[in-house]
Amino acid sequence: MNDVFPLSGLHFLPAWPLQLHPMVGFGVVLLFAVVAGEAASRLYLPRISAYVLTGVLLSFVRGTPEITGLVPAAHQVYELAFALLLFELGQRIDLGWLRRNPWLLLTSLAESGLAFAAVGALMLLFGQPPIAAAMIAGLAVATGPAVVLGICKDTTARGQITDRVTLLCALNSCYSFIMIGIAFAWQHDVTAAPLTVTLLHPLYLVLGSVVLAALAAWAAQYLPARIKPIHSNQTLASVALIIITAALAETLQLSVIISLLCAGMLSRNLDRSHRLRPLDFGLISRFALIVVFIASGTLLQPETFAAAILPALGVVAARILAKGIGIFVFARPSGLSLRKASLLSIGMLPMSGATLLWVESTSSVWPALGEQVAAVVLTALLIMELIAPPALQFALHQADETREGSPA
Amino acid sequence: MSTMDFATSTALSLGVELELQVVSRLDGDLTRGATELLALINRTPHRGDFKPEMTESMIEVSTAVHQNCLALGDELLDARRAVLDAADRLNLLICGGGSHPFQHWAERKIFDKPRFHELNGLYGYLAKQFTVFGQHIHVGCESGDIAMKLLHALSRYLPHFIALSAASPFYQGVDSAFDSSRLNVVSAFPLSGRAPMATTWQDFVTYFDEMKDLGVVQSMKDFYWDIRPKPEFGTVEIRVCDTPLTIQRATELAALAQTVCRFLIEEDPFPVNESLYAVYTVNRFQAARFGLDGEIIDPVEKRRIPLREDLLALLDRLAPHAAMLGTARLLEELRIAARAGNDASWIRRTYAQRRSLPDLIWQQAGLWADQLRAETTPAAPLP
Repeated sequence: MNDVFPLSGLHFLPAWPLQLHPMVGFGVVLLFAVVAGEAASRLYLPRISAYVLTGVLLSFVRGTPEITGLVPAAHQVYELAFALLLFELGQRIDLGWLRRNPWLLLTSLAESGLAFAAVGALMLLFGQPPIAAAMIAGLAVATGPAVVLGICKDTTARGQITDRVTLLCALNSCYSFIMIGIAFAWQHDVTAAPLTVTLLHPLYLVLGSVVLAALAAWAAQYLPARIKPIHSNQTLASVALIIITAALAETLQLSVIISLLCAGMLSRNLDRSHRLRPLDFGLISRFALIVVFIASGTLLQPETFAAAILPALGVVAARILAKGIGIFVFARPSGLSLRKASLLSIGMLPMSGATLLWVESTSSVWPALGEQVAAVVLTALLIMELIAPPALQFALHQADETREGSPA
Repeated sequence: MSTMDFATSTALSLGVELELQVVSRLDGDLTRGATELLALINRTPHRGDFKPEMTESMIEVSTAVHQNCLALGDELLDARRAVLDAADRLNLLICGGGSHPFQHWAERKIFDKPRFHELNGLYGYLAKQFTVFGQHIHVGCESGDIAMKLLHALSRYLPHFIALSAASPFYQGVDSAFDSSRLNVVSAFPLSGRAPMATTWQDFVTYFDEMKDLGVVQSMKDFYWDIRPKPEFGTVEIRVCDTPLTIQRATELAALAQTVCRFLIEEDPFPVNESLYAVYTVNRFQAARFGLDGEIIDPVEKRRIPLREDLLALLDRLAPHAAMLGTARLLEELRIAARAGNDASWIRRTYAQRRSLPDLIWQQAGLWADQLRAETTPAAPLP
């Protein structure tokens, strides 16, 4: 057959059938996501919803998670993109606000504490073992930083609800990490590690991450301020620092989330002369957003949907209720009308994509436990990835904080 | 009672309105916070009446009617405490100044009130560009006739108010070269500028009715004149001042208005007629562009004179009236400012030192809250 094929002599032609370069696939997916995002925005839906959908479709097309999922390279790109978004979010946090308005700290502790208690109790009722219940509850505490940042940037939102969603989200992301860290330690205890190890582990995680963050923040202050702000040089220097920080956090087995969030927060709060405007990573962070949401889309596992739908709906409902109560109780003293408080509660819905990383690392250490947690949490996350971004956008628009003419 | 009946008020009584900037602590840019701020302020008893303004990035505070400038200053200080307490809880900064140094007008959001949406529809981008911040001073008049006469006579000293209050050198991120860039924004509106030469209240009402019949205006609010009568308050309203960087300066400007009005009423120093307006726009430009370094033309004496010199001469002439009104100490501060420089020069100096517009907003907010005075206020005397 080949012999009669008239082009076989032309050695410069590619072999048949064509072996596509993997980058073609990546480019096509990226292009699809951008176009789908545009289409979504014309339907007054958030662009990030379209990115998630792209990921979900991709997982159907490519089938096996070994290809689409967290293969090492993709995993690293995803983590870096996520780190960048965390730093950017951290920069939008003013810790002094908690001092000037202590009711906000109470709001934050209440909404997180109640969400943990409510979801944890519910999971015990559903017959989950205590350790799995604690982990699911810990994951439910966090509001998705990437969703919050993505929507706020997309709608160029400014105002009280925007500021408060961002603040509460950053805080509960930290609490969530600490809670799960403790749950991990507890699991170690269950698998018979000495008590000192149990106690030292979360301490190492938190303190180590904060120290790393402080170093990164100092560097982010010191270096970019000495670089001329032309050709995006300051931004690129900061991106480089973020990459180093995220990689060091990995190496030292610290928390990427706490390190980068704190680095962002500290670099802003240390900027006494207000020289550095909060860095807008612009195109880079837009790229990071697309990557993060496509990746979370591919990891959502619709096939677990049927099995875990009831407990997952329970998680979603308990979480909404608990966070809402926490916010409403302290709304008035913190200076928010009840109408705005309800919008803030809606804004707190997004669940964190970091959940995916957790589930993955749980599974890698304790496969059985990972499976129990994954079914419920990933189904809840799937529901939230679909509902929460439009909900947050709706809340910001209702609060009149989105830019005029922006889709909402 | 018709809306154009002139309500009698005590001669030389005084009230002040200040438009303030609502700024984000995140990046120093204007932010949307007027609704929450007003709700929070009005929860606790305080002096000063707070109202929304054209955009969500602006709130206005007005004082009660006062006879004494020091009492007015006290009320403003009390109002400042109220607004700063609320702003702290919402993580906002409040500052004075006639313009925000680097805000972009297209990002402003119109406050949700029918009149503001109407204005936005009519004036297009002008309505949003109107995110500038002024101080309005009301001086009480016993009759509409006195008000009209005072209004025209005051035009002689309009440049003085402009130069002393000017606090908007930066606009949309650049140094406009003007001490008060805000006035240029106001000038773009078709009904801005000066009031018509009506010298009695009856004449003015005739003019107003004509304009209303022609559909040009619906109420006095539609006139954006530099000085306008306010019949429902029984006052003349001076509207050319930028919101100063400090409560102190706002109080001093009110004292100047009160004292000048007393001087004009008691001494009747020059005839009031159309010739006062021959050089009006030129003088207004000089004051807005060059501030205290401007050179104006005295429409009465028909000669050129440096604005600073004319201001110092005016302050001398006001001395006996200031003594009667108890404004002497406040006017003395203005005399110092006339030599040392206005708020616009403080802004330029601060920017030159610190090279950052967001930081400039921080410094302005600190000055407004009275936290920076020791550090930065003493102005280097002009060479």
